[in-house]
Amino acid sequence: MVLALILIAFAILAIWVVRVAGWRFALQRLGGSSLIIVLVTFATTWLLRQVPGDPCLTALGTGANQEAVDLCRLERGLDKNVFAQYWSWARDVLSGDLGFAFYKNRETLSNVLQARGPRSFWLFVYGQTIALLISVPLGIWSAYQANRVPRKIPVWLLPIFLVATLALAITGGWTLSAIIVLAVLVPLAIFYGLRGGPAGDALVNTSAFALLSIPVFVIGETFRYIFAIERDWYDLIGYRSWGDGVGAHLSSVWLPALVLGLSVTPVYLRLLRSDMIQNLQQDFVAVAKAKGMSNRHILFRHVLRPSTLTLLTVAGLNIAQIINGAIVVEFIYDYDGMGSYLIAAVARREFFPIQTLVALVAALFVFANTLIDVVYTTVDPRVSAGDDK
Amino acid sequence: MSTTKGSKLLLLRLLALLAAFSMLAAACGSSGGDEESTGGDDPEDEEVETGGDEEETGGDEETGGDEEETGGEEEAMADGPSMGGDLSVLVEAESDTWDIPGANCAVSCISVMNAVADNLTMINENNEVEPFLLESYEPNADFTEYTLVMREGITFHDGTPADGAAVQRSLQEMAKGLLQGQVLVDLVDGPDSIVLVDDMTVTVTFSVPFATFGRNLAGRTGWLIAPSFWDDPERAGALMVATGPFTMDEWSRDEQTVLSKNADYWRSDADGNQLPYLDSITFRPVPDVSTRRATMESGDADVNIDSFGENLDFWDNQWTGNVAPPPASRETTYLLLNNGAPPFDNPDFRRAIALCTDRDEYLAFRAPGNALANGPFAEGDLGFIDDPGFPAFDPAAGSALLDEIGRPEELIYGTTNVPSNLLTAELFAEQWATNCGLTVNIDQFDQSELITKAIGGAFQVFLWRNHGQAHPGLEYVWWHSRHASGLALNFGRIINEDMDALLQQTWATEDLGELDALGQDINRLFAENVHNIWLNTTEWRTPYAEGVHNVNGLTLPSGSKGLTGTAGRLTLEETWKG
Repeated sequence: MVLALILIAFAILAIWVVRVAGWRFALQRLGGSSLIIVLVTFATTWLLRQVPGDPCLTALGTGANQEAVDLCRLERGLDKNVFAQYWSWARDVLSGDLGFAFYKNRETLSNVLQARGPRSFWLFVYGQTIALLISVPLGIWSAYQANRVPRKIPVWLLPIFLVATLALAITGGWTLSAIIVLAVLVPLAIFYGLRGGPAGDALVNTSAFALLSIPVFVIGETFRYIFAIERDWYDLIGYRSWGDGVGAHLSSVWLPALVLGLSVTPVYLRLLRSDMIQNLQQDFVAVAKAKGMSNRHILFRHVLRPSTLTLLTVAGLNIAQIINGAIVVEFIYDYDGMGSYLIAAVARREFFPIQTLVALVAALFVFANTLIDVVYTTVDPRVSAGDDK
Repeated sequence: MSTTKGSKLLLLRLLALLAAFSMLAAACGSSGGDEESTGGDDPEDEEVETGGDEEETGGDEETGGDEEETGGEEEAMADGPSMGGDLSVLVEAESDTWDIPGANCAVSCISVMNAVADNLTMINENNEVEPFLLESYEPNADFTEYTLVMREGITFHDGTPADGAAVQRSLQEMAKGLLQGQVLVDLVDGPDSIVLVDDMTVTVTFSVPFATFGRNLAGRTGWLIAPSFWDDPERAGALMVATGPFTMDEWSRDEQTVLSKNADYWRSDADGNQLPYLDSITFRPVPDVSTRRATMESGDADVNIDSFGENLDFWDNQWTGNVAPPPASRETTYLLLNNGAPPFDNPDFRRAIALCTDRDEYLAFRAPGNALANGPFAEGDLGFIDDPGFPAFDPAAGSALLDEIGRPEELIYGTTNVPSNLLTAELFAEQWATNCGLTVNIDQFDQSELITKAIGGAFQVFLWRNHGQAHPGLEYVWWHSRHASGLALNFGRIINEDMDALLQQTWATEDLGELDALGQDINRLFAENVHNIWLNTTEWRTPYAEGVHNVNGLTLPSGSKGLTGTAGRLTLEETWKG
């Protein structure tokens, strides 16, 4: 079932690639992708065998005796060399058997994917959507403000503010003064930022930089505390599927998705901003302005499209980063997706499911990047996916 | 236009100035008012801090709070139970299978099983074996033969009778299992030693005295499981079918196990109310200890189990709900030494390391709130002695002993890559290097490798947690030389004839006084030979939310209370909400 869905997705992509970029490009990509997947999975197979620990011993635990361990190894083909093991695994996967757990229950990876795959999928989709919904408008706004005439900041307020702060610190204590300084400075910064101009750009840029500096687990833990413990806005009850109702589904996923989205937002935002600033300085923008086009028209019709190429590239390359983030987010929110399964599988030396998952991630990576290559041609007709140059 | 803009700017400046001066004025005029809210470094603040300390010291006062809560609990008990309600329970791990004979069924698995399956016997609060599912349970004089008579009228969840044949089948399947087979290894003729005498009676015959059998029946070995489960060709992934207060309806691996009330359950309470009280229980495996705590704090679960040292203070002093009273039997945390390989095969070296180990420092930094352990048995358990003679910290003596016997080139301390365990490893490595001039290397690996290395004997020293089973005879497999070779459960490879003899004797008596004396001898033997380095007893907490009552409460058919809650294991059949 899972394999069939993957093959269908690849077939649709292949047809589209052939139509847009031609047979040559499609075949090149197919060959390259296959080679990458074979290399990655074989390397994973070989590396896993080098890691200390025996999956059979781990699975049998305190119930292990030599006879049981030997039987387990024999049943799972672990007594053969690494090439034979790889070939056996690849043959099974290609015939639709994605592998099973070493543990006694012999849970199949197909079942795991059916149960957990949608969770990770939705987390990924919502996370990316949130990231793009925040980063694209803010990136555009920030880039536009960067090119505007700076607004004056009332520097004469600073000494007054410092005197007031000092007085507060002496009489009321440093904590109170720090709170008040923050309470005044932050709204002031936001106020001046929102007034636009380079101060607005600086505010967005600094905020993005600050967000970029915060590890995802810190955002996750903090938001969990704020929204789940302090305020009862999020229930720590795990994932709810669409079958449980739209409300239940969205309420179970919004916070993990927000955390995941925020973790990649600054990357997208800064990339889009810098690309747009560059493009705003191009001659065609001056021409468009000279023709009397509105700023909105210039920004959205002439500058945004060429500026999204880097964003698309990074969005594709960022898949691995998002998977890493998803693992952390799943852990914090007890969100049983593929990330937490992968971690547990690695810890338990579940050789075959790990190999299959790595192959799937590699395939996803190749799929997404091929897709993006083709999308380039739509975004910027000057680029041709099939053009080797 | 410019005039209007200039006026706006002027207004803005005036407002800003006004705000600044009003802040200044407020600051100058309200110092008294700030004392309440300032968390700075004024003397007043120190008082607040001190006050905080007093509150903490008066953790005992908090105990007073607990008493109040207990009072609330007593009130609720007096009011009687409420029927119905769904309970959400957090456990620390998912179970790989319910096929118990070969399963590594730990605390989480046991907690679920306790709700789904009944034991043939149970241990009462006086640490005595009582029949539970069984009508009677009789050993012969030398504890080599047992006659088990099943209670009439009990059925499994699938409606089939829980009779003598079911008991025989269940015990035989256990005997064939990889793990439970080790418990029943002394059956005189393998599974055939379990004989159905009549419809309700089974005899079990062993080749050696096996007085702990009744206690094993109160644990994993004694869960009565339906023949339909054993007959299921896919039973490794099947739902459990037993006689317990709840039926297993759903098992979404790593997500939840959902149980619902067994309407035909055979037990009722003293007032004649049908048990269980709850309509359903949902067990949710949440491996991360901080996520479990957060989930409890957010009110999204009703019951939790926790042995994480850094959370103990929170549950004891800050948790607004209740905490089930911890049992006397507790596991012991210790440094597991490989007695079967150099350098720890030398008793003098083991003693030297014990002399070089500052256990008080370990307690202060790594296990605050836990009691120092000088032996394998916790205070209140059979075999406990306050001072069995375990070597006290004496670095000079340790160093002198090492000078005499020589120092190994290096000592390898194995630890999982869990940060808190690594900190402990670093503490001991630093102690042994500084106190006794040893070169210590830390070998880090995954959690899963720990058990692999322990079973295979591929280690020198590990941090370990085990025991606390309330009976020295139940520790047999961990310490007897019969289990010390190959892939062995006697992880420390302890080969000691005196130990073997003492353990053998614990299998030949049910007299608690005798068992206590034997346990004490075992305790002294451990201290004398320093087979392990004892550190602390392991404290579990079972916090539960307001409105939940009688967690781990269990009344046995005789009317006595059951011994529950050992090592975090949950018993929920008499729990209610309301």
